[in-house]
Amino acid sequence: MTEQEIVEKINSALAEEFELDLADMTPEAGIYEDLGLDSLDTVDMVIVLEGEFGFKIREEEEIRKIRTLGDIHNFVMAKKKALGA
Amino acid sequence: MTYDFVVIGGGVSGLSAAAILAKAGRRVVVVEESETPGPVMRGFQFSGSYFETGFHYAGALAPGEPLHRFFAYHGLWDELTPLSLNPAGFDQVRCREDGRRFDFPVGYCRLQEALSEAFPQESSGISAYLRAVRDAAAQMPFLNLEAQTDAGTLLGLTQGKTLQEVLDGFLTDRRLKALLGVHSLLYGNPPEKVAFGFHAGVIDGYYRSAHTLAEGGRGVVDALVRRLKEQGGEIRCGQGARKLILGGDGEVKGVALEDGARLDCQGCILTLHPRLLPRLVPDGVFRPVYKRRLQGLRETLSGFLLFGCSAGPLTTLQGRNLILLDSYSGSGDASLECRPLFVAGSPAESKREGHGLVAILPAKIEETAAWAESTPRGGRPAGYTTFKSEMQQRLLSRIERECPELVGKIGKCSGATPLTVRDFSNNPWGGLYGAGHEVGQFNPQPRTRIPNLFMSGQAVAAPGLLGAVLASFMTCGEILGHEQLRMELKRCS
Repeated sequence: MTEQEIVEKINSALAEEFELDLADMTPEAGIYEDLGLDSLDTVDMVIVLEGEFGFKIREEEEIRKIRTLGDIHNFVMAKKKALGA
Repeated sequence: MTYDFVVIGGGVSGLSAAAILAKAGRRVVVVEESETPGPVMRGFQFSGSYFETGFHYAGALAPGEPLHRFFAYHGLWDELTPLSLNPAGFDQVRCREDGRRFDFPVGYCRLQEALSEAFPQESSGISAYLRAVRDAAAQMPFLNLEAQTDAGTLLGLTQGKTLQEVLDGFLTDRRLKALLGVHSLLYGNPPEKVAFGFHAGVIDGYYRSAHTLAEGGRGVVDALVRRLKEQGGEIRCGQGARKLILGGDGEVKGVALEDGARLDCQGCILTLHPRLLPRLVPDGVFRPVYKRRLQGLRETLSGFLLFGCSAGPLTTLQGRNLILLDSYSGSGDASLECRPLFVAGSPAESKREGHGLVAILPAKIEETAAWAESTPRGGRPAGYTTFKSEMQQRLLSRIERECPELVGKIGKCSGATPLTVRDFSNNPWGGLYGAGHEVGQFNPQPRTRIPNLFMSGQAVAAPGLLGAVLASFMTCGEILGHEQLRMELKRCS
């Protein structure tokens, strides 16, 4: 899966599950300020990513640091790389 | 008039949450669908005896322990009398496979000694395992008042190892592992599914102390109701909540009841099964992923229950419970006679009431699927009645086979099935403990996307009396401030 495909997969999944507008989903978009998620949505974000990519996310510290959509893209790509997939 | 909080659900969590808020000066009302508050916890009368349905024994009830502290906070100890179960063996496991018996003693030291005596080769593993249990339990906020409030709330608890994985890591003898996993009966989820940290939080209290209450579960409900009313709180029974009324700002403004009445409020606590929440809220309020998470919550096991009257006290069940195993490798999917069976005596030595026993066998609601459409109000079909009395007979025969000393001692019997559990606890999915706490499953937290709507109940924290009360403190901590509640709790003893 190319990086572009990963980004698209993340964006479309989050758009559907959180009812977001794909047009707003730039890497710079702040997930809290711009996309309107709140800290309560973190768990559901983890669930969506786990479901899409089939891995378990236990990196609590890294998840807490996520601020932008780009941070999510980078987190998933790093995770996939680490898993050798 | 506008209430500060409407609490939906008058079980232990709802009553406790309402009493906490009332004590803090909030104007609260509890809405309970059934005719009396605490219908599950309250137990019932049958043929002159009192039988427990929601409470059989509790850990953490000794002075200084969490549940004792919670009760002290509510001022319940004027009305409740703790009865210590036998310290040398509060739970006796009898296994048919090898005919052995094991008594769980009170206290980590004595438990370690007893386990090491029964399994000498595993002594060091036992010690390490029990230390792991104690350490994990110490991280639970509100159970340990010094623990971080947000510890283990996000990923740690639900993504860690299962109880079975931890048992396998420390121990080898399958009989020993089965013994240490047997208390998964207390929350209705097998060791392969439950998170170790969660198990530790539940079992730690029992390893420290085991009690019943002379007044039984009904005593807890009555005392909580009295405290709530003394502090100006109200209870409305006989009408469930039909809808939450939201304002333009997305906050709860009121609760519509089934009879059309409306209670205006500044906030709401919901203690129902979380899968019921989306039904009460207009579409589009919760994100699809959250709704699916709630609706996908997996259910704990249901059960077949037997309530048997006896002419006199049953010595075998005085000060202890029995857990009957067919083998050390039995599972919930096995045939009825092969599943673990929990047996407890009547709660109190009441002079006015008869004696008896309660037996609980894990079951799935699918086992009563043939009669799923029926309700107690509409009448159950004859086939169901026959099935139910056969179940009672099988449970009684098994108890008499495993406990010869009880033969002929049990007279009139009553029973319950997963359908009874479903219909009397307002849980359409019928689990004895509602939604379970499993590895990989994210249970709802007290806060929701609606800023002034909070959740509580055993799905939020943990099952049982301790879990239900604990949930109410976790939820009210979100409303009143965790630090303030913790300070007040520390002053209670």
